[in-house]
Amino acid sequence: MDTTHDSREIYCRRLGHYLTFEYCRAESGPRPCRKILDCWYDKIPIGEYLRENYSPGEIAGIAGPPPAKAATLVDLIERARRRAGDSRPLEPGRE
Amino acid sequence: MTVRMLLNEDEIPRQWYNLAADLPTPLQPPLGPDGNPVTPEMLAPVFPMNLVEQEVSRERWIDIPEEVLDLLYRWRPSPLHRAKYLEAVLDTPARIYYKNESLSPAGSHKPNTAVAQAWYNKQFGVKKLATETGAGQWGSALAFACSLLGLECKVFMVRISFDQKPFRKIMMETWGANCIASPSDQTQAGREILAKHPHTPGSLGIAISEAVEAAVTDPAGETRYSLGSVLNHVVLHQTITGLESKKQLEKFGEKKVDVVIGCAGGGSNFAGLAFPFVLDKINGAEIDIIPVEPFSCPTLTAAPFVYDHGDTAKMTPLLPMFSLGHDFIPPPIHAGGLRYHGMSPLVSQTVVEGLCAPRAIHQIECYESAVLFARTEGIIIAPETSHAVAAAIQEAKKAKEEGKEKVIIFNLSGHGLMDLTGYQKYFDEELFDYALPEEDLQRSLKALEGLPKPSLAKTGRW
Repeated sequence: MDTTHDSREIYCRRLGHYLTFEYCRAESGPRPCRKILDCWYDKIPIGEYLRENYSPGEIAGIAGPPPAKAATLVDLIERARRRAGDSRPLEPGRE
Repeated sequence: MTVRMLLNEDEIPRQWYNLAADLPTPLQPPLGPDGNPVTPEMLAPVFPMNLVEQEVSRERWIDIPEEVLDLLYRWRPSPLHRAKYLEAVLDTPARIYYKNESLSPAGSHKPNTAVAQAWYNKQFGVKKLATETGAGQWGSALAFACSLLGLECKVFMVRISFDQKPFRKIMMETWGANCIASPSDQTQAGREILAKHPHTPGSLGIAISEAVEAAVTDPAGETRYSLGSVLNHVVLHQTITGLESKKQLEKFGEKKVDVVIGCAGGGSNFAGLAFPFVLDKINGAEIDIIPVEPFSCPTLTAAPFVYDHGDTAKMTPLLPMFSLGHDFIPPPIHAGGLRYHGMSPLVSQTVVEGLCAPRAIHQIECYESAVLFARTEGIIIAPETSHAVAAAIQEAKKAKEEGKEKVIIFNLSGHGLMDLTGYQKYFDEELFDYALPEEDLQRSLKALEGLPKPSLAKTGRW
């Protein structure tokens, strides 16, 4: 992994404080933050950086459209249930 | 001259305004993981149905319960200030007003929805709320709200923020909340992450997973989740700021507003002030309504390339989406849907329709404006708020150039007393408005370029 830009700082709109590129490039486990392209496009050659350090699938994952908030929540509900051993599908009306 | 217009408690708006009732192009329901529309009932594990009903409501006006008003009276109605000291320095013919939301107990606009959400949850029988937070602005607002209503509050705070922003954690604890660094060992989601990455700094995504899990897996079924931005019911609760402002402007003697400004992150503070004026614009008023964001990391304004790739990747082809750069991109089966990173769909739709005209401003201009504001009006504003102040100053200077007596109003969404690091960096000249050389930028973009750019259907009235 290229660490050239790791110490560069940016104000994170999502978290509300300063952090470094090192955080942005690995925010989501080994994957970068979804906003890495938005936030760094005018500071470093981020397109090149991503292409050289991540697979096309990983790049597609972060460049792809994020789900709507409500859809994210439904997905998280289902994941939480699966982790808790509740395998029933989420159905309208069932809490 | 009156510089601060107050309203009595009995003058507070008694209904919230719901723009969804008046949008020229109705919002499409989001799609769930299975590709089918998310139904209100599917959100019931995390939200009480009274809030879910607000989320999907198309009623124009929604009554604010008296009990919620009683909670809001602790700091509302908030004052509307005439920024005459700033005007004098700018030597502008414009009259600048700002809605001061920094006076809430938590120091921002966030409690406007926090207390409403806490109240509706309590009405539904919920005993505990869980949420996630970054620097802690939302977490502290919800902690405050829960303390008023006797609800337990658990806040999953992203580890890196937990370590960097200890004072907000103390605020939450002072209001009785349980603030935990995320990932934590209190959820399965957190434990799984910690097992793989023991030293992870965490992320909002992980913290949300933990908060949702806390709500969904509570064996007593007495926990729900709370969100501080983006969703329709959150935006709805914030409209009290715009509705109060209209009454206060009238008391100031203003007959017409020319420019409405708010900083746009998730969209709720901007929408809260702006949407009542958007209604006026839909009904024919000529108003420039401006959501402002950082030039770096824009969401609404022209920027990258990036989003045009979402289509190509086909990773989530059924989700509403849009293209940042040029034309908006609705997939054929979801015309009208949008894709803004973390932005309220209602705000996004006003931009697409042309009801709002987003603007991006560089950070140094924002801090210059924030410092000028502090040295004239006296308030040290939050970094996000500085974007609104910078845009107001731009508009005031423009009014001077044009020789017009414009009326400008912006939302002072929060104070910056807990966020002084940026000011320090500004004074130490550590901030830079980056400008990647054009050839480097083009090369970078080329590395990502790809797909066709569909266009978005809209009414074309604005």
